[in-house]
Amino acid sequence: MEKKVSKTSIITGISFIIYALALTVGPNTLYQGCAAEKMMKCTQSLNVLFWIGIVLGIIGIVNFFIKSDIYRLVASVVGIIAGIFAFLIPTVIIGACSMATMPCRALTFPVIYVLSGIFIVVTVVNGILLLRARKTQKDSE
Amino acid sequence: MIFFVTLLAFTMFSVSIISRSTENGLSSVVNRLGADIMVVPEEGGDSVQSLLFQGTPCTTYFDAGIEEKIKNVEGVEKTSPQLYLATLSASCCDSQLQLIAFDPKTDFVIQPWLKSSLHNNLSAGSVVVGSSVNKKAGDTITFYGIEFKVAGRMERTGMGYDSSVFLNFEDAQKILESPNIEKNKDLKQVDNIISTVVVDIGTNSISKVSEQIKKELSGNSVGVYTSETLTHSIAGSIANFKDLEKFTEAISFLSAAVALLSLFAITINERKKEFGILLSIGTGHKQIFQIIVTEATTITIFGAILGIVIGAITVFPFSIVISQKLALPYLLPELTEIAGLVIKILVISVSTGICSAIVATKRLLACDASELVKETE
Amino acid sequence: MLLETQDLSKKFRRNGHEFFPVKDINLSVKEGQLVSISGSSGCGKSTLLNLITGMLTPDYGAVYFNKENVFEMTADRHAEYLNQNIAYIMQGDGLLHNLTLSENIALIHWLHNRENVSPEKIIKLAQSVGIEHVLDSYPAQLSGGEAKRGAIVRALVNHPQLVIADEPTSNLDTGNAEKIVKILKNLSLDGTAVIVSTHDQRFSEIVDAEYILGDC
Repeated sequence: MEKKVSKTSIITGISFIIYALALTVGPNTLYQGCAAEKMMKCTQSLNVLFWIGIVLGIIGIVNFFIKSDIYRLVASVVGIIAGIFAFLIPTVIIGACSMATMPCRALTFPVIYVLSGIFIVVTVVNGILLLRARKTQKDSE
Repeated sequence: MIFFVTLLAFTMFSVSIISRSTENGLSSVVNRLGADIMVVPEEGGDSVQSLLFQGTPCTTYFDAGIEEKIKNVEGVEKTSPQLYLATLSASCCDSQLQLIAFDPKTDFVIQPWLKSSLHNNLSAGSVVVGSSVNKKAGDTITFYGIEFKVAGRMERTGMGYDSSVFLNFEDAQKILESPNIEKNKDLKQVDNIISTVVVDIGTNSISKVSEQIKKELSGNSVGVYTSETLTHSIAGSIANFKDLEKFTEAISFLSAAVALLSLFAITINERKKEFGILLSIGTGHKQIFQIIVTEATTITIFGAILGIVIGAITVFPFSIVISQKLALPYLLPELTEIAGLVIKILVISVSTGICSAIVATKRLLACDASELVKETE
Repeated sequence: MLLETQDLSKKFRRNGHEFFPVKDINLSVKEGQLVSISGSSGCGKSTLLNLITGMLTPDYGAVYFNKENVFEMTADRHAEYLNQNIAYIMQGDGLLHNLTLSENIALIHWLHNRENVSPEKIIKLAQSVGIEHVLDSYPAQLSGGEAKRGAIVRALVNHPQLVIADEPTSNLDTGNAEKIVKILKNLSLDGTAVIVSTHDQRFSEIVDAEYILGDC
């Protein structure tokens, strides 16, 4: 039982930290957005995603110091919601550049969408494993 | 084993999609050009190609009197002028667009397919935008300080028209007369200018007529292009992609076949004990085949689907970046073509897996069952 | 006669030389008989058993089961022979490690009947050898004695006419070995023919016939 819990703990921590890096460091390095001469929609969207990334990163790091399943379950829910917002913010809530050929729409946001999709899938699967582990633990008690 | 099947499917899917997209892009260019011959300013030839293939906005022009000279050339049946104007670098959030003005009275190239977006002719004060422009019918859009109504938005063409805006000459003239036109540093003259003359020669010989036009305009700095010469440079690259697609398919298939054959042989060899036990309790050879082939089918289907999904995640969301990097016209295939490709890859993957499994199983069952049973003792 | 062998012979090559671990063996087993085959290690006991099951092809001779030549059976008939007519308990546990003991037992029934054996039947058979409490365990979780008894239960599910056991008491402690000997003796008393290859002296005291393979 202990082994299963720690496996999900590692998955939670690592996936949150990687996704946080994807939202914070990535758009400023590997898949840069549009050159910001002034505040544009895409810059605003990336700023919001940056802070979401910071929060997720903190959740991921703290995860390694907390042994509670409840923490990881709540973190999973938060992570899934954050992943969904990563889709909604550049498309609906705030927006991005209007031209499809602009860097933010051609590269930055597609990368974020793909990584968000993967993160959501990993978090959902991890959440299911956590629930199963808790159920098995309760049954054996 | 799943890894190799995934790799096979991923490689075949991605390369095929990219290759077919470039082919579709080229077809789109050839179909949309519409004209037998295009006459452009000599120094503007490269810019016009960049515009058509990559959507790089340009401003290029020569004197409108050139059209009259072309009309008089033997073999020319119809001519129509077009004007190419790049918009000003708009806000830092929007890239430049290409304005393409045409004469509604004489045009035979743009209006036929423009009608599919409009269902009517383009009225004064209205424009039709390309698919990359984020406007819809009823919106307004401003160029050089003049507001226009968006009459419609074209479907994706995979060529430069996607980042273009179409308007008639009357409206283009308003832009040329506006004070903001001075901000276009490429424009030194605004009176009586056009960027290209598109020529229809009916059933006459393209090479003969284009030679005649060159002779007639030998004193003017013009370039005379047929659709073949215009697309010649990219047609070669696209043909290379087609060859690459076939080569990649063959290499991927061979590598996967060799890998699967070896891996199945190793896996089944490691499971000799298991098969020895199954044979000793009366499992028939047919049943052993069924077990192994079912496993092979499951593994290869799963691996192929995974490879296709990863390939799709790689090529579809990033199609614009890919087309920009390739600098070629790029139009994703239709859904039916993609479905056909998926089925083809699944069939290749599964049949490779099944054949490998059958070969390995035959070798296993050629031994006396007691040889396999020895493994258990 | 239930089973007969006629001049059964098999040769192997070792270090470039041919040798016959089994040569001109004539053996017969009646219904309900308990027969042992003994001899020193490497003398061909397992080879002989493999020939009798038909899982090894001889160089000369034949094996007749109910007057049917085992080596002239079709592939499907041979599979039926191994599943229904005889049961082979091999050395080692002979169980599939990815299935529970219960699933291993059920598999042999399902192979030719294409329907599940009733759980009650499995439990009853398991109770007769004292392993009903480990039916849901995997072979890796069983002791040597439990695994061997599990293999015996699997062998009995289809009510074979002949049970062939290769060194059934090897690597077992005295207590478990005696249990196995008793189970096999009771089988023969119930009418099932049993052939065991063994070094175990306990069998010598209870068998109906003993074949000793020569020095090798």
